[in-house]
Amino acid sequence: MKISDSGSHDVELNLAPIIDCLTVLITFMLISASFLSIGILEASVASPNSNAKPPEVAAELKVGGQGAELVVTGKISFKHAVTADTLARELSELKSKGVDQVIFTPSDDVPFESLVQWTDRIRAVIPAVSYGGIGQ
Amino acid sequence: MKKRSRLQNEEVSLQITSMADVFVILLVFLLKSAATGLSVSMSQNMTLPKSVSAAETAKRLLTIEINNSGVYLEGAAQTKFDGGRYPAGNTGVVFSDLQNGLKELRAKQAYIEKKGGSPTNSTELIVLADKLVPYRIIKRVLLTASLEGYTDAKLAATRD
Repeated sequence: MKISDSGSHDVELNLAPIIDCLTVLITFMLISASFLSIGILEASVASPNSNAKPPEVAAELKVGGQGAELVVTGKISFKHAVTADTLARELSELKSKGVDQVIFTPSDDVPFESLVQWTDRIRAVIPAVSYGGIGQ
Repeated sequence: MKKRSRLQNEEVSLQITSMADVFVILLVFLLKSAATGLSVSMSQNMTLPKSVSAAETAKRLLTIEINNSGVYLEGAAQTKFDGGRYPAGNTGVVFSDLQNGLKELRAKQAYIEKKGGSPTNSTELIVLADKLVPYRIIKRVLLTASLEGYTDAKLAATRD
């Protein structure tokens, strides 16, 4: 600290200890930081015993070792084999006919990774997906 | 020659004000990312699948972890799989150890609530499953959880 001739104080802030603190804090936060961004997918369960009124058109996607099959029941009724490429088009058509929910029923051996990929494909067109086959 | 000696005698001081600015910005960024992300602890032998439609969350929920060694509730082993293989079995049957673990947790929550603690009667939980876990195991876990009142399950995935 210098005192000038006029009597005013020329104060210099010592930044070195502040830098020290910040370095320690940043190092600690970098070590504890998680660079994986984890998200969640709603896993609502399709219950066959539900008392709710069934929809006019119900769509169910069944995925197994033999491929995928879209089963539609109700006012419109059909059963189509679908692929990852054709699913979006089929679902868009169903959406235009009032379908707002899809029941997704993978077979028992379908791995979780594949389940998430198919869920992403369905949710790209129809966001409401519930999982079937639970309790069976 | 005169000029050179004058330069050599000059006091060189490091300008650390700008360095402090950079550090503060870094710290703010790290604090923000720590506050918004979902923090869950996972075992080493676990790889979450990638998802483009997974929603971001920061809510701390009850976690059930499934990998090839077993099923874990809040990090504690509930069911062990023999030899790192997923059991075949009847998919309509619950995991009884997991069910007991969830029952104990509910009883603890009820006790805390009775003693004046905040109500924690949540129906939500997160299922963290390895990308190779077959659907039959996930089905059994979801069934077990729903029978114990955890009807609002969420599946965790890495956001792509």
